[in-house]
Amino acid sequence: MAAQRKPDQPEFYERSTLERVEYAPPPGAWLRNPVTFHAGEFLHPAKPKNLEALGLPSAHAWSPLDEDWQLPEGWQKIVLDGLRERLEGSRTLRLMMDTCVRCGACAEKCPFFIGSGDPKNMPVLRAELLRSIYRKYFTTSGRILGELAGARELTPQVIKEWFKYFFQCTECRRCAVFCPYGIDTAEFTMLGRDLLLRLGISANWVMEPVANCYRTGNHLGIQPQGIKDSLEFLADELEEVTGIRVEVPINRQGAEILFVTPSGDLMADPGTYTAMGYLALFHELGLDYTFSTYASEGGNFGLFASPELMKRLNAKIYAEARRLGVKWILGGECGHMWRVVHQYMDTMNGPADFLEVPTSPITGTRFEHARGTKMIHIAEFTADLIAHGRLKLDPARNAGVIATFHDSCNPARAMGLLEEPRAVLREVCRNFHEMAADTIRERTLCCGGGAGLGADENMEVRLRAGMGRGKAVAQVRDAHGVNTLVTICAIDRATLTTVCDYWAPGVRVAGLHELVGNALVMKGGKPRTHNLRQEPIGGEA
Amino acid sequence: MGNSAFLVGGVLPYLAAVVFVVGVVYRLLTWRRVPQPASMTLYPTQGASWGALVKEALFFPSLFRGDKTLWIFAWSFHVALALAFIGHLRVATGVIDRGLAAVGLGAAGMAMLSAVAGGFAGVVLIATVLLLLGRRMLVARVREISKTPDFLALLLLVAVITTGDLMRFGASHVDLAATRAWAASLLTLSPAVSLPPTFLLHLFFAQLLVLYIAFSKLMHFGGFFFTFSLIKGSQP
Repeated sequence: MAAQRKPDQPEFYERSTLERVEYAPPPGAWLRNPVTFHAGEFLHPAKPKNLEALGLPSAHAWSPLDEDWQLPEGWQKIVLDGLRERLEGSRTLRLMMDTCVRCGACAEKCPFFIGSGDPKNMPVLRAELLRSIYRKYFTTSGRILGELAGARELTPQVIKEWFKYFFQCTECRRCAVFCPYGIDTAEFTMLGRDLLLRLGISANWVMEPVANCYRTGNHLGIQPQGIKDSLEFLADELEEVTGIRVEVPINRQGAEILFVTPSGDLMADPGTYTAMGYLALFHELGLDYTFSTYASEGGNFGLFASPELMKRLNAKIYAEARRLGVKWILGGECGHMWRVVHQYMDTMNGPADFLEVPTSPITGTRFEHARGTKMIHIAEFTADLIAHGRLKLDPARNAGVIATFHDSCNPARAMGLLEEPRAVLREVCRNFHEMAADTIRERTLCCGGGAGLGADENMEVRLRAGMGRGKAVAQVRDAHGVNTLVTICAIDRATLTTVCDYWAPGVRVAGLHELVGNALVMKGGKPRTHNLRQEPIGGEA
Repeated sequence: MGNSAFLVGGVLPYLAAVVFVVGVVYRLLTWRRVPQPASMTLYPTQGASWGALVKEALFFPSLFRGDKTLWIFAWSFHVALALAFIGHLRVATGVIDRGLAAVGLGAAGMAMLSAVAGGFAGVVLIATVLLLLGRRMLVARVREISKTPDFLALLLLVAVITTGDLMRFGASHVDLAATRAWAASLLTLSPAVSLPPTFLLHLFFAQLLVLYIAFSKLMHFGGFFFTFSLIKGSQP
């Protein structure tokens, strides 16, 4: 059997092999050690058609395994001009180039270093991959002293190294929390990917969703009819469980709220159960809202490609909010979407003065922190409903669930959304056990597959990066019988399913609003005997 | 006085001061001038207060959370450095002495205080800087990330601290009256250098370090305030 397994399948990898991590760096200085690629650790290159669909330059066919990556004419100038443009446009970047003292406090904080031992996965070295070029071409000491000042020439080898290591980082920012200066490796990863993209070098798992979203409004490339069909299907499923037919408003002009969620919620388990939870909740509240087939993506893979692409995709949400004449925007359970919304949206496409400060029509709470973006996370919205006692909940309907909560990197570290999901979870599920303290909240560990890394062909990297999280889950599974990992991110729902199956078998992944949908007591309908997955209540997992 | 002594004590101080001030101001202005297009929040996202900034600057809590061993080395080093810096003001001016005298401290008490505080700082400084250097050389992971500039900064510090400790603990204790006369002569732009060789050696290395600051990662003392307000604060 083993012979038939391939590097893109988790079963290909022996647990004991992955667990045996060599932390001693290989001989030789990292600056001179050549970069190599093997199956299971790199993403497929972006297909030219996806770059062309976005009007990006230098679309070409290449492979990481090729000796010559067919870099475009004048590629060094393209990279250095790009670097100059970014250095002159971002104070944080400039500071992070200059301020690092290479103390190494970040090293064993990175899930990719923890799982691989590869020195270039230490955040400090990941950043040095770029800093060495910055020093060579933008600082006096680097120009004169060269390698003595930690500078090096920009060669095709550097480009290969960038592709390898900037696509072995999920921009989770755990390192930044521990850095005495708050130096944020995500900034370097974003810069590196942005510079690579100018050479036509990127990962297809990033660029195809971007191209899809640009054309059709969502990462999966679902056409408007497909969105409608999916939502109707979910309403059918919900009716099976609850006996209640919910309405699914789509593209409805004049609705009060535009609801935007990751398209994965509509198409793939277990996200679909979370989407059913939304439908049940909105129906029960009588919320005046609408889905959109144009702004049908909460996520934004542009964040993983370049600032311009992030801006382009994000603009669709505002454009649709304006077209439909809504008052404010409610966002579904997503992770990186909230990095975009919370950090960039306001100054990138906002402020959205044509919208109103999000105000819950049920409780009257004004979400003042979102007065710039006019957009709030559904965990905040639901936590507010619960705090006001506006939901009737029966946690016994999740009786078979023994839950733990995975803080998704972006809502936790970029947004500080730590208490709200927990407040909701405690009300809908009686059995809740936290994982180890240094693996949750702002110190949460990585799913290993965010920032465009959630493909199959890089399975080894994903499993390695997810090892820390997986083992923390296994710990609460063994100690408390935890069988469900709850999370508020669509990428997590997909990637952590793989991580849990591998490192903590027996634990499955559920969205917060799946459990809300289970526990929500709705008017009318039939007594619940089954949960949203259509399993008998109490007999889960 | 010899030519080299005059270069170290009468010329280099002006050069070091100018390079330091111009260099540091240039670096700070560069950071200030570059726009910040987005708010870069990192937990705690509510935005850090002035209190948190002061706390971070005085006690390094982020490092404490992340790496306790390194925190002990780094924090002790910086505290001793601050202590030594304050003590060194006495080399140039009698203000501190007069202040201490005003609160009733006699010459003997002052010498005692100097010996205890200065001796403590001198021992802690050399111990921690050697520990930091040893860490860079012996811990494989840290050796991997260390480049020449990292060692250069530490070796300069070793040279400065060793020559300083030689005066503190060695036979040729520094004559404060002589050093204050020298400092005054510098201020009046008529440098008169009549100082012992150990002092000049110490001064030489110290000035090399000062010259190096603006061109190196030692600028982290300034960058810290920017990164802190940008990353841990809430608004651009």
